[in-house]
Amino acid sequence: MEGEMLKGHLDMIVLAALSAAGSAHGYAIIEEIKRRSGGAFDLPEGTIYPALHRLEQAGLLASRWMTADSGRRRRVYTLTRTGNRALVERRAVWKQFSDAIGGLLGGTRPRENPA
Amino acid sequence: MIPDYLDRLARELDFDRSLSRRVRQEVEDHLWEAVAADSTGDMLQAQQRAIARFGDARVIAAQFAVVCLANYTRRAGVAAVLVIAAVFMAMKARIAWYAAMQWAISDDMKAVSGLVVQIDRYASGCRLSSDSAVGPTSAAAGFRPRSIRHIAGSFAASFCCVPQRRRRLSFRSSAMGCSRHCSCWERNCLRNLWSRSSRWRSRSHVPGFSFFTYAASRCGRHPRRPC
Repeated sequence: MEGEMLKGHLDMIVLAALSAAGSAHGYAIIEEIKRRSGGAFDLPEGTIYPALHRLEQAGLLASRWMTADSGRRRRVYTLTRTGNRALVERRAVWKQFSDAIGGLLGGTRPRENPA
Repeated sequence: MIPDYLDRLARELDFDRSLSRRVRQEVEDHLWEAVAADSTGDMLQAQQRAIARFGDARVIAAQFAVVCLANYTRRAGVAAVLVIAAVFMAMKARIAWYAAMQWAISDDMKAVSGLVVQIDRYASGCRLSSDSAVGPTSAAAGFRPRSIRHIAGSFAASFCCVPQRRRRLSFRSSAMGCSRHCSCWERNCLRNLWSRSSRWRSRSHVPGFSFFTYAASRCGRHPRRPC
């Protein structure tokens, strides 16, 4: 999948991966994204760190330093309560968007939004 | 190879030292973990692949710069509001203090003070308007990129290429604007008080205060060396 296509959804992808993985460091988050997307998302790995920093600044993630088995220090990220709420909202928006695009491309009407 | 890449990334992130240190440690852990996960066994090639997958240091630094710039802007906005609020409070406190000292306007000064206050009000308004326009323009001029090619990428990329002296200039420009505003308000306040005061003792101190604040603002206007 093209990088430009992913960039707009990177925050949601990171939040979803962290939600699935629980606490994780940058490398583990990338591995989780690759695993869950079946290798379809192939962004430069470094792109994840500015996104993590941005999400942390926005209060959606919390982080702390830990010492790995290798002895190196690593920063581990966790979804905050605000982050969980943001993910739920983004999932709902994405579902609507996906249904609408699916309806357009597939020629079927999207389901009516009950709200 | 990985230490060289980390040095390059740290240099690109030099606009924020603590961020640079943090990112360096994070990325170091990431790259060595990627090398450890590489199954080829060739250490050098594994490092090359890990770095290639990670991406260009300049591009990553540019993405960090966008986040940092937003934070700096927010902090600067909060600081400016706090400074303005503090100046306003100081003015109010001083006026309240003068009132507490029971200064009265003498009859012969009333006509003159009314005219002076009117002139001063319009002059101060003009100065505040012109400073409001000049301050941000000067600050924006500080963010001039080193190369036009960097503009094409993104604003973040251009921010990364800003030398420190340009950031210092932009900071001085902002400080200049603030000090100018403070000076303007201070002089306005003091002049109003002067025009209304009748006691020789208090009136004699007003030009001194006014000159002091003006001189302080002038010192802030002139950078020590040209950029």
